Order: sequence, then C-alpha cells, then structure tokens
Amino acid sequence: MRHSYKTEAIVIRGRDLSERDRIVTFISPSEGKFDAVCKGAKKVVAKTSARYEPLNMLKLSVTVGRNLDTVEQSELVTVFPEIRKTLEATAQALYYLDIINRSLEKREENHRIYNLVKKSLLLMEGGQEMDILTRAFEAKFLVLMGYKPVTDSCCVCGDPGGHLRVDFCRGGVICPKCSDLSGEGETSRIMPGTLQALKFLLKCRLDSLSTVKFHDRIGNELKEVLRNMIEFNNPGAMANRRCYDTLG
Amino acid sequence: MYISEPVARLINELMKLPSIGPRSAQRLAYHIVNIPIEDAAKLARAILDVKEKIHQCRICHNLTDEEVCSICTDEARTTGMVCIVASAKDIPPIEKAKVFRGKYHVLGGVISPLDGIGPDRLNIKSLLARIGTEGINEAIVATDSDTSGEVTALYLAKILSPLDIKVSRLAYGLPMGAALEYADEITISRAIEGRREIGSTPAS
Repeated sequence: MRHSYKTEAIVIRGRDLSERDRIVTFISPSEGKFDAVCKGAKKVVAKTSARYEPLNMLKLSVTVGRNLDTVEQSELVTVFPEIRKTLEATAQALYYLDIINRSLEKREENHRIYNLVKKSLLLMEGGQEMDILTRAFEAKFLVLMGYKPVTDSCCVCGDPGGHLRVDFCRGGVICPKCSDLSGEGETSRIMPGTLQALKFLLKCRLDSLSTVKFHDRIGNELKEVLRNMIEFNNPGAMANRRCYDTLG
Repeated sequence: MYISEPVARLINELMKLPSIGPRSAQRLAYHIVNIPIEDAAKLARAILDVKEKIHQCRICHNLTDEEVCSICTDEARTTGMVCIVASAKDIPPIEKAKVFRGKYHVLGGVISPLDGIGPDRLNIKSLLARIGTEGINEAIVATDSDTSGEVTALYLAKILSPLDIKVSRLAYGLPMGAALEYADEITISRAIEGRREIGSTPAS
C-alpha cells in the first residue's frame, strides 16, 4: 500500500474543516477528483492560504490517510492571473470546474478530463475567445464522459440525411420520422449550421480554435443543445447555469 | 449514564457553536454549572436579547436593535462614500482602523457560483437604490481577497461603473509586521502590481 503520492492538481473548491484547516477538492491526472486536508490553510498569516483557492494549479505532495489524505507540501504552478482579471473569464473558468465537480465520482483516474480542463484554462489565459472555447469544452467533455452525440445519421433508424432535431435521450440527431417517437422535452431543434459546428467541435483540437467564429444564432443554439445534453446525461451538472449566465 | 441529562443537553447545544468540539463544550458546560445562577441568567438573557432584538438596518443591512443603525444615522459621516462589505462582522475591523468615515452597505454574502449563490441572493438592489437617492459618488469594495470575494468585486465594478461613480477595491499586499521571506508568491505578485511611489498620497 502506498503511503504518499505526488501529483499536479487544480483546485476545484474548498471548505472549512476547523479554525485552521481546510478540506480542498482537487482534480488531478492520476487521482481524478479527490479531497485532501490542507493544514493551516485557514490561518490569516499562513504562507499557503492563498494557494488553495479555486482555479489555482499546484504541484502537491500528499500523504495517504485512513479517511482523508493530507497535503504535506505544495508548490504553485499558476493562479491564471489573466482569467482572474475579468468577471466573464472567471465565471467561465469556474463553470468548467463546477461541471467537473458535479459529474465526476471521487478517485476516478482520468488523465483526459484533467488535460481538457488544464488546456482549456491555459487557452483562456492566453486570450482565446471564450464562448467558442466553452462550447468546445462542453463538446469534448461529452465525448470524454462517453456521451458523444451521433451526428452523421439518425441515431434511431440510421437514416443519413435531413436531421432537424437532436434527441438528448437517444444521444444524437434524429430524422423527422423518428422524432415523432421521442418524448416531450427530450428533443430540440437544430439548424444545419449548428449541426456542422457541433461536428467540428467534436473533432477539432482545442488549440485550433483561434480562427474559428460562429454566427450568433448558431452559437446560441449550440450552447442550448450542448448544455441540455450535459444536463440530460449528468443530472445536476448544470444546477448553477443561471448563476453563470448572469455573471458571464 | 455518567453525565446527568441537563448537563449532557447543554453540552450538545454548545457543540452546535462554531469551532466548539466535544471537549470544549464539556469544559464550557461544567464552567456554567459552577457559576452563580445570576451570571447564568445574564448569559441566557444576553443570548435571547440578541435573538429577539437584533435585526438588519433598513438602509445598510448592518445588524442593529433600532430600525436604522447608528452608522446610518450619524450625521458627522461622509454621505458620498460607501464601503461595501460581505457581512456585518466585517464592519468592526474597518471601524477600529478609524480611517473610513463614510457609510456602509452589507451585501449579506458573496457571489459563489460553485455554491449556486448568484447576485440575486445579495443586497444589491438596495445598494443601487441608495446610490440613486443618497448621492453616493464613491464605492469601496471591501470583500475578502479569495475567489468569491474577487468575483463579487468584479461584478459590483461591472454594475456600478456605468452609474458614473468611482469604484475602488481594498489594496492587496503585505500585512504590517510581515517578513517578506515568509510571504507567499501570490501576495508578493499582487503587492508588486499594486506598488506605489514612496511619498505619494494613498487614495482617500
């Protein structure tokens, strides 16, 4: 049995444990989402107190405990200072962490989800346009969680053309004939342009988004479709969407 | 049972207080058992008085036993300046510093999207109403320098700036008496970003 481990991690959130200590939720490539005690992190004069704020990226040295692990040492990698300068960017970045926090079980090792969050935050820090980045994050998040939507043919009958609706329950586009079989509230209209944009986002590399631009109508519809897909597959993942919409 | 029922009940109630564990609760309970009954009655009365008489100030949401708190009724205070704090407990430390002579506005929390707390849950509508009626021309945002405090400050700056008032934020940096070698990297970077020329007058 291992007694300690070292990992890179991003702080998702923290809560008070006592007058001095905090329990912090991290996401890391090797441990997935996990909680650990950060001793002394609540003291006003603690050298480490500012490190365990949401969004910060750290290198951790953690001791395994019977119930909870304890962070023994930490080194700050970045606080994403550019993201923190604007309300919109901070809200979008916290939205990524919130979806992850609400969708992942603890200790599910997932390098790819961690890399998606890390890369998205680094691109946002570098000035990538936020709405497109967030849509790409949502599309890739669906893929990594195993809910990649079917976009090339009707997900019920396999009909290859004429898809005007997306069925969240069946996980993809559906033809007009099959859409009559879907339950109320389980489908949403999708324009051909939005479907093309969705196909692009499912395949593209995150670092190739700098030249991409969507028409407002497509962007708005894509936002609804992707968020409804995430919500349908991870009930509760979008619990705070209204709050993020107000801020972002 | 080795602890009598009334004492056990007192221990249970004391344990509900913040940062009071079983041992502290037991120590406090036995202290209360040993004090004169008049002192115990005073303690009980003080707790009940707080619950019965204290409520939010109609104007600034500070805690008060009057309809309007003593700060809002103090005519010697500057009316054009408001200090926005997250909670009523943030007012005493600012008052102790004796450098701010304006009025306050208590938000009743901070924006915390991860907890689903948005701006609609804070006392922001009453703040906007005050700015319209009290001739406020400067707002100092004095929320904590954690992520929620920062998000709240950014949101307030976004909604207050178009109203043609000056919006400022408490400065970041090294606390008095702190040694530089023990300061963390975030504090030092903020302190360098917010540095000011020696001899220059700080914002007043």
